[in-house]
Amino acid sequence: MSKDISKIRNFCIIAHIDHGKSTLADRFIERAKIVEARKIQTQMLDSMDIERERGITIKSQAVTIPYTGLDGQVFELNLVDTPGHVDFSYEVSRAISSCEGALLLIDASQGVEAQTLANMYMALEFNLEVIPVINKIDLPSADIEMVKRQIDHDLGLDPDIAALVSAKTGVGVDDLLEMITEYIPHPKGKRENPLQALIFDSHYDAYRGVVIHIRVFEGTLRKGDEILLLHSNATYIVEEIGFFQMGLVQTPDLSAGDVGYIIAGIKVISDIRVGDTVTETKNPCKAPLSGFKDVKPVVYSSIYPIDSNDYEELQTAIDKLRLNDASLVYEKDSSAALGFGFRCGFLGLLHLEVVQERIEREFGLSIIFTSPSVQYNLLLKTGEKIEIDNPLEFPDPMKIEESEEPYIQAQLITPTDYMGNIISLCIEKRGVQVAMNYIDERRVELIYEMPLAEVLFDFYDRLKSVSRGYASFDYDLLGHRKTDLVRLDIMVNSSIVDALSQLVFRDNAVYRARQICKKLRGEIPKQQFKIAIQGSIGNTIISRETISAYRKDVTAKCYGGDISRKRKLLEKQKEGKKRMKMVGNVEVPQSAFLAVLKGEDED
Amino acid sequence: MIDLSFLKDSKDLSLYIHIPYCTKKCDYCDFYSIACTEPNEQLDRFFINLINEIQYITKLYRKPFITVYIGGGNPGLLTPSQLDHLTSAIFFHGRPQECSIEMNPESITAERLRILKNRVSRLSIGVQSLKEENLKMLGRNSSREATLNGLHILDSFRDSFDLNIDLINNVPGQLPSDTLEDIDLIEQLLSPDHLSVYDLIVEEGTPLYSSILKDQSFEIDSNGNLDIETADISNFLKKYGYSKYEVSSYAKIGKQCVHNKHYWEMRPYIGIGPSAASTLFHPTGVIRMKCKNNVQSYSENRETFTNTLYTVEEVSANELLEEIFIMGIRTVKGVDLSYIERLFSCNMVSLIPDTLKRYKKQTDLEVVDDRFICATDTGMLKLNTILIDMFIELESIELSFLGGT
Repeated sequence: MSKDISKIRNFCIIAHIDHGKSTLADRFIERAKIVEARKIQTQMLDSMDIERERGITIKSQAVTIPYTGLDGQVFELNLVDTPGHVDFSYEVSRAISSCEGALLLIDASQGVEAQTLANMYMALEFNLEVIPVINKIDLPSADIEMVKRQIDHDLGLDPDIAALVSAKTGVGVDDLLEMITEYIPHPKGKRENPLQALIFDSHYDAYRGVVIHIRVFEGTLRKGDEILLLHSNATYIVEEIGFFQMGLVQTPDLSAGDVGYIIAGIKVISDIRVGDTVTETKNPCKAPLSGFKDVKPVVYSSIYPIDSNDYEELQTAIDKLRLNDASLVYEKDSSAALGFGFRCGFLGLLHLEVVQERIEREFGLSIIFTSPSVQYNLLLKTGEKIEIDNPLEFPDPMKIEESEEPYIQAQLITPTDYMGNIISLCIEKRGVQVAMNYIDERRVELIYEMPLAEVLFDFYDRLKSVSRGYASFDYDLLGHRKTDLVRLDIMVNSSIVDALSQLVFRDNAVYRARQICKKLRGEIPKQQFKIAIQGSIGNTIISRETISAYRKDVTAKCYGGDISRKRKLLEKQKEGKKRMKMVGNVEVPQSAFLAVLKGEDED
Repeated sequence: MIDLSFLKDSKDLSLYIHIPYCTKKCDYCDFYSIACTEPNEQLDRFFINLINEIQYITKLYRKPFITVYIGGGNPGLLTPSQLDHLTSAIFFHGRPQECSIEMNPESITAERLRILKNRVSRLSIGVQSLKEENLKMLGRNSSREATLNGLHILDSFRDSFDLNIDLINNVPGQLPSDTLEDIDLIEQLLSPDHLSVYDLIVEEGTPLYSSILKDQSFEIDSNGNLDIETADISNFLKKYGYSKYEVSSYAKIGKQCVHNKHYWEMRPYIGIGPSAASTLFHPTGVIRMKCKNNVQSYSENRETFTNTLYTVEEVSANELLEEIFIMGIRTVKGVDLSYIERLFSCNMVSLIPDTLKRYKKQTDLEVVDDRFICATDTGMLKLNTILIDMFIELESIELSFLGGT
């Protein structure tokens, strides 16, 4: 079977969160009739439960859609769905690098948002053909003319080619499919050339093992071929290849321009690195493909199993997760309070939350995360420079000459009504205003420089609440700047709870310490003796709460009718006590760590 | 119907009767009771089935019960003729060592006491407090005046009964001296044989629990205790000749409650009436039988001990051992290790070496005469802590019954 490369279109949809990507993808799939009507559910490309529940797309997904054009030509449209949240821009870059074109989706009533711009720049960087698509035109609040002006003015794209669609009702979708075949170029490459394919994703299937997602740029791949992974230098025999439809569909070969998968009995999970190039052992390509943005984690936190016996299971879970989440980096870690775990690096807070939920749901493990931290640069008095993200590695402050923390340039787009609130929030978060531009009479763009650490600590929630959800936010890393860094320790009866230590800006330490001590006070039960909960920087105590000893721990009344109930109550308390961690002489319930580390504010 | 035929071979059985009616449910009350006025037709229907069940058991058991306790609710709501009828049914095979009945002070009448005086040996009066504010806080359907009236009627029958008075301590807003003043007055009026002075337990789901949560001036711990400054009741009662023999129980010489001691020693008892529980020893183990908290279906029931009304679960050997400790450690005398040895053929001291070592060192526990594990005065204040540590240590041990009590 010989395919015509000129009939292939590889494209992705990029957009701000909530502008309707997944819905549009659903419409395409429906038009292609590759799913029976009764199997259609919303967000078909979002195969993770957590994606459907939150209405967000986390992972890039691929699907091949057969499409017959108006002139009767049959096309193969490979759609790669992409996430919209800022944390996942790495996923976006992976999706983009396997495509020749992108649909830039803009909500007809919201207009251009922070994320829209960021994604478009990325698409242009990879030389993609960008088709602006104005979505949700069925809404009464749709303002198509305004969005067209923004496309022209803010994005610098031609507003006349903008497609008008409603992904929800399906209006304009057929025209859009036609535009894809018309405007997006077909892939280059020759099926006769040496094989050159890019791993843009991978996942673990409980029955079939590791499934590698590839985009073939040059050459042809067949079942039985021996492949070489250039980066890891590993070889495997291809057991199966195929396309993504709603599931995996086998095919005899994949050639230049195709998007598909490989199953090759891969046992060593670490051999697979997203971004690696796949070629053939007997006729290898000359050079690896490039085009991947190298991502560095920006947020660090340690993961511990709640039941320390689950450490091995956690290890397996993280290994498997890493397979299709190349952005996750980790190493072993241990804490006196929480036992063995992993120090992990994440792309952002949402990424951290997603990893947490996936470990809990997909692997059934209960886990706990320590306070997220950024990476700090320290210059020691000896002249040595070190990078740390783990509070436990913080050196003696006397030895530190200077410390630096990462800064970001934050871009916020908000209706003018909330501008005052947002400016106050940014100032509170140590932000410095760089620019303020009116996008139109109703909306303003604010540019701030601020420490990344401030964004990690309740910034998203506060932003959402002060702008009633209307502000959008994106950021770029600016590099490290000088700061005044201290390690805040929390002590329970003079013993440091290592899992609760944090690196903080000195001026924030007292507030943070008070919050944690107060929280712990509510979570640690009274015991036989008085308990002091203290926050300290070095030897200086900066906050204190006290839990008085209980007067009595006895049930006043117990007769024949109460025995079963009393026994069950004590059994329950016994189970709770078994989960307690000893900090010095104090029993601290697991829930206390959780409460502090989750950091919900009551007030 | 539940097979209770093994009762014909058992001995040492005590009987508990639950009368689930009260004039008004108090705000702190967590017992099963429903409000009713007297006379009451529903109570009459309930009473018929109650008597049927008692007769069923006496026919099986064919011996006098060791002890009997008629509690509630407020058994003082039974009419004099019902009291007559009830006690006659209970005593069919002879008198127990002790027969107690509970009564609220406002239900005390000369008529009732005349019926009871030759039948029950012990009256337990739920006074709770003589301070209006405390009665109000507890949501009692009584006043200081009504209570004192009841006690006055009781005075002329004082020699016919052993007398217990229930008091509640640790009431939100009370002064530490309130309970002491109540004791002084009660001692002058009636000089009871026995006092039960309970710290208030604020149970989840009660109106008092909700109002305390709302008020926020008091903290409730996981056991339902309030952190309130209290007086040393035990020491105060010594001057009137009372000795503490259980967490909340004080008695003059020879006046300890035999029925309650039966519970604390984990001896067999059968409970009849809605919400009543039984612990019964059969040849191969122990069962816990419990009657549903539903007076309506109890009253409509035409058969005795049906599976719809009663639930039965086996108590495993390990659970029974835990229960023996939960109950026994409450008493000053302590847990009788010879009883445990007879039941399970095990040496208790060797099963929990860590707990014993730790709490002996803190002088919270003692082993007396190589036979009793008992809590000291300080240990009595932290029984739950001790029990939990004990249970954790016991987890790895698998016990089995030898059979028989």
